[in-house]
Amino acid sequence: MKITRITPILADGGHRIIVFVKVETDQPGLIAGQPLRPCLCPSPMPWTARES
Amino acid sequence: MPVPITNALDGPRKLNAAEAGLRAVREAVGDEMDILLDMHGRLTPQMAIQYARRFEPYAPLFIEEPCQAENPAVMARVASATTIPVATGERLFLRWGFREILETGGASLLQPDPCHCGGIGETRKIATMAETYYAGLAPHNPYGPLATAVSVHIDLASPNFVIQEMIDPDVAPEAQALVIEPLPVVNGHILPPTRPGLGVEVNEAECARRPPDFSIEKAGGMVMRHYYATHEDGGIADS
Repeated sequence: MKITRITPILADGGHRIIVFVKVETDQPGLIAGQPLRPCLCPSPMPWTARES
Repeated sequence: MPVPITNALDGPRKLNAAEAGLRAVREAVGDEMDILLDMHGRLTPQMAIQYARRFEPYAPLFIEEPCQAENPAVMARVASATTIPVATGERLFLRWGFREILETGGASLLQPDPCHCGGIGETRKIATMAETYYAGLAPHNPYGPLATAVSVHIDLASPNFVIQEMIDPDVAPEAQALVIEPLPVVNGHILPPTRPGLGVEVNEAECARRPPDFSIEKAGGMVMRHYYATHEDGGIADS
């Protein structure tokens, strides 16, 4: 399986800016057999790292 | 935050005020509701012990980061000085960051953040390490509904899971809208996912409609409103 594309998706979540990272591969995902199934991971913005 | 901005050493005024606040909360909610106290690492160990002993009669479920966690041996002294369980972990990374906390007895409830402690797999390993020390798991999660779904998967696979942090959907409906069908919350309990994968899907169209605003008025202002704190002399305090 090869990663074919990584796309950051940024959005205003109200209480903070939220970053999703969309990872696409050249193979169907492990679940449901859908082609190019994206796997998404969240991450806080650097300036929010101090929050509880 | 159950304690006011506190100096390295302080007298009884702030201790009395904090105790009065917690007493009022306990009297208001009774014994059926758990109270969780987050010191957010803003106290010195000396003051943390004094606050904790004042809080003991009101039986909070735990105190979170009574002092900074970088020196686990010192946090262990705080933990051993109070009957209230100590929680920590949001500023620790990978299993290596949690090893010393467990070995020294610095905390009995670990709060790894799956978003920055190494991901789902690493958080599960941290949870298993905690299990061997009879410590609990309460993943740190002040983010959005996708991070909540990630945490819930870990929780469901961890026998020592205790409680899950999340942003109240009613407080931050904007974040809820960023995924399609976020996990429902019923009577204070998050229902487990029933769909494939993480169980929630990012709503990319909604994300496109809500571009982030990095201007100082918006993003910077948000930081200042929610997270900025100073000591009485103007020095910057941990928020």
